[in-house]
Amino acid sequence: MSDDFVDEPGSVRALVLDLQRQVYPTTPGVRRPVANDHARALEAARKLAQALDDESALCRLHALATADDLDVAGAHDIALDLVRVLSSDITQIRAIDRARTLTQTLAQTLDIPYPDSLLKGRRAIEIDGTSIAGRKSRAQQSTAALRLTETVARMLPTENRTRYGEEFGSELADIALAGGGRWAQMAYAVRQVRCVWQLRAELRRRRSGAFR
Amino acid sequence: MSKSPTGLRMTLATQLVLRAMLAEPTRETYGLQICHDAGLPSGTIHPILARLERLGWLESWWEAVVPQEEGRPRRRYYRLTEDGAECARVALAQATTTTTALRLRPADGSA
Repeated sequence: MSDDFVDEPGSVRALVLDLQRQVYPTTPGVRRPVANDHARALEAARKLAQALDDESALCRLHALATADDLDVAGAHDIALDLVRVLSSDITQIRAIDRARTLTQTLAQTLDIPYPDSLLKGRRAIEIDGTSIAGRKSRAQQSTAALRLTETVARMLPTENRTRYGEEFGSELADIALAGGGRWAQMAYAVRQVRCVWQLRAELRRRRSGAFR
Repeated sequence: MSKSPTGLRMTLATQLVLRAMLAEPTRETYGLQICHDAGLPSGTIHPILARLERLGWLESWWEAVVPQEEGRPRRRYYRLTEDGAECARVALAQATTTTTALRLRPADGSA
């Protein structure tokens, strides 16, 4: 940690140390080791947050420094920042995995029992990540194409509808994830419509045991 | 179009699918990947896969993943069975021979 950061009034480190003195009154000049950990963690958070927005980062850090449970708030915020920063470059799931690892490392560094004090933070990260990932996949998927494939599945023998409905949906999602737009998905659905009678005939033959 | 001894219609698309799957017979693969490997448009191979499955040449199963963790629905995976791979090789060889014989037949029809 740089020295200029220590002396700067209103800096993250100063805020943390003030908070630390209020929570754990000690002899002036003697800093508890845990305060340094907090300051280090928050400085890392500041650097991560700076990549997004300096002003909002400072506001968030002030909120963090005055949070009731600094450990949880700090760990959660760093991990969440990481999710947000990484999600633009790599898949959301990888980002969440990285965030989880970081959260666990932070818990070990701060010597906090992970399941008790950080579970809430971890859950929040999972919920945030899943909802963001969900929004993305929903945005990419074509509802019209999905409905069309569902209709195709309904034209198949009863016992095969669920399987093919799910399989078509899965392939549509794969097309969307591969960058296929609405037209690509619609083209896939139309091809299913064209093939449905062949597929239906095959499945009926299977049911009647033909060629067995 | 030729027929294999098992009664499978060896259309060009069927041959392409079998060739793609025989390239790595033990590999587990899914619908879109097969389409890509076979050079066929996506969404055209389900009747073929259903036929091969009915004949016992293919086996299929659902991917064992949690969709929420993967960020996508589970896929249906396909793989050639051992017998299926052998039958496919024979059927493809026969289809190729038939095609070659037809191509080599003289114009007057005398073989």
